[in-house]
Amino acid sequence: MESNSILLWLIIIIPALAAGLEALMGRKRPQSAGLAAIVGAAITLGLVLVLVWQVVQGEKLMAWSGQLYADGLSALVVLVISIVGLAATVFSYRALRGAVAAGKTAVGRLPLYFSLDALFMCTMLWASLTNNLIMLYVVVEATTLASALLVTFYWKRESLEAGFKYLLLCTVGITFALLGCVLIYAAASPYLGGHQAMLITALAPVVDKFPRELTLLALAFLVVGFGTKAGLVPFHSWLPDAYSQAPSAFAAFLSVGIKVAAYALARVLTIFYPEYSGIGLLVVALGMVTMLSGIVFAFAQDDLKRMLAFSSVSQIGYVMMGLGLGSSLGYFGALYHFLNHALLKSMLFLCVGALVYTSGTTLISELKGQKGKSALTAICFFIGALGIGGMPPLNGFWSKFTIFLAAAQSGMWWATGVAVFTSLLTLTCLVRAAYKVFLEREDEHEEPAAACENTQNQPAVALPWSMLGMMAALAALSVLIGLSPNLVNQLIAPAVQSIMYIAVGG
Amino acid sequence: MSEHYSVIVGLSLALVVTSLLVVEVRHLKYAALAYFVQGLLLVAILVGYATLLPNHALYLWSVTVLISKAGIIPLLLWHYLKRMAPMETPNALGFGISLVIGVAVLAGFYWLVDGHMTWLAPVPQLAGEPYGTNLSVAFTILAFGLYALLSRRDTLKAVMGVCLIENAVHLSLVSLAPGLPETAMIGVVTDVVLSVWILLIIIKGMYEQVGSSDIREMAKLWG
Repeated sequence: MESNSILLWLIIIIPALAAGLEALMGRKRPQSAGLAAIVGAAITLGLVLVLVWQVVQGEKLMAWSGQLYADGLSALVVLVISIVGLAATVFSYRALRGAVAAGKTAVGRLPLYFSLDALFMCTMLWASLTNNLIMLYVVVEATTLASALLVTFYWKRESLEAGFKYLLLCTVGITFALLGCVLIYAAASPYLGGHQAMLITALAPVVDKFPRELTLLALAFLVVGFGTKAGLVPFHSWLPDAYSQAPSAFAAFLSVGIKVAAYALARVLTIFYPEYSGIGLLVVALGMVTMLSGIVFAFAQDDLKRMLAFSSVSQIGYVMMGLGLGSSLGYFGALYHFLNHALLKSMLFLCVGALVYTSGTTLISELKGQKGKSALTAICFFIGALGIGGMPPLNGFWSKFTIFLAAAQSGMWWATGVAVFTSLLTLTCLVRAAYKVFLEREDEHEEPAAACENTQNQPAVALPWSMLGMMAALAALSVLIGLSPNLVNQLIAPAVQSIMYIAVGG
Repeated sequence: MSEHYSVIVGLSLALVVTSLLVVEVRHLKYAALAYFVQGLLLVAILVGYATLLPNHALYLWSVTVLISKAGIIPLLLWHYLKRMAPMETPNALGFGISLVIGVAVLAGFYWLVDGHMTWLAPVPQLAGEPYGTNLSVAFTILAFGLYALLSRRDTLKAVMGVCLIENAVHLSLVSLAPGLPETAMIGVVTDVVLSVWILLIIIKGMYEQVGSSDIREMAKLWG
């Protein structure tokens, strides 16, 4: 059942308005920066919940004569974006003021932060709601543009380098996605006409008429383009730099950015599965390489944020593997993991933000044995580490287990093997880091001077309730999702259906 | 009709030459000037196609290109270049070898693309003139822009490489998607202008902290 709805417009416009308000009010009252962004994100989440409710009931919402479109898949993605967006924005309110107190940035720059934060939310929501092939490129690139100046927010040499790499690689990469989209559009327009050929949902019935070489070239461009933005190995080199240099609270939100690119890839690529079965295999292989090399790099990191970033690379590999399998079980696992990982990883980044707030550093070697860390941060971090590591009965276990099963069901035992192995490595890597940071006592002989110096610079402070609350809320949500399969099924089954529906040309 | 085609073919060749100049000229202001000339040529080519095909939507496109690629982007480049060192950081290859490889990349890709037109043209008539040359030139410049990104150490030159890639994509749209609505076009162009602008802001920030636009000077992150 398809119906027109103003909801889609509102979901995009409200964060944009919040961004505008932040920029306007920030000139006069920079000290109140963040309020408009928080209110905007809260209203957006409310609207998204209504949208999700309607979609779960079996409706498909449209606006702008089909240019905006929400089915189960987009509903899942906008839900993830708005939950993490709200949590990260509320968390930022105090975290950024902590950064100002620590002398990392000035009060006058806070409105810029919250304005771009709201704009980033707007572009990501738009990217998940657009049904226009060319606009998909435009808005995915816009997410990069909105976030680039937040990666460089502290304006240090390293953050500038990270921002430059991020913007350059993602812009060039995504240009290839544009070429891919244009080639598909060019191939479809003789059959559908100029206007219809731009609508992603209209493509499936004519895919088999496209010239074969052209389609393969276009799909390769799409994989390279959206793959760069999604952080697939070997196009991932921007990701650890950008995540580790961005303010921790924003890194939590940025970690959803790669998932939007993965969504864009899934949206377009799955249309071609019935005709081009080899594409799925390529995606599985890419996912496998990505998951394994991501976690191997993660082991070598001393910076907690870089470690989490490489783990994100690794986890996006799982999502890709599930999507590549092309079976409904595979899609289910991939989307379930998409949800779990988004919640868990952004929660872990918020934990790092809390550690920065209290201890002033993100290096595992410096955090080790330091006092003044809150117990709740430790509990949340352990939930995140165990969840992403795939420890039952947490949510990460169920989604990974589904992906293992789906791979085995498709006869790809080698892929299952690699995925299980990577999962064990992930568990070791994250839990080891959590243990070092929170539980290990400092060795008497190991330069206590350095640690003391740090604690003097950054006196131990109590975490504000808004920061603790956001971490706890995301952690509770993850646990809840792990424990109630019915809730999960209601959310993810429509998303899986909408992929299958489009792929068979409904 | 055929002499019109030859005008467009001539303009396309000039486009290739300006790309070579953008990448190989070591004086950054002259390289930016070459980019400006390329923008003007792009406008001329669009007007040429608009009258030849005839496709009136392309007149609007040429206005968009005139404003963005022969207007805003060259001005932005000029504005930021004035505040930085005038000469490009020498690349690893040296001027002579880089020039030879650059010409080889251009010629090689033109030959490659021209020989595999069916890979790019969704319908057979797009492989013939006047579309064929356009597609070959577009994909040649695209490859050349990538070569520039890989071989240059100067961040400003890297941005110019991105600009070349974007020009190439724009050019390919004439053949592949002439029916593209103006709204989508404006979205694409806005993205390009903003990305170049933000890149330049970041480069200027680095220049102020490091005193050079050399990518190696600022590379501290790894792994």
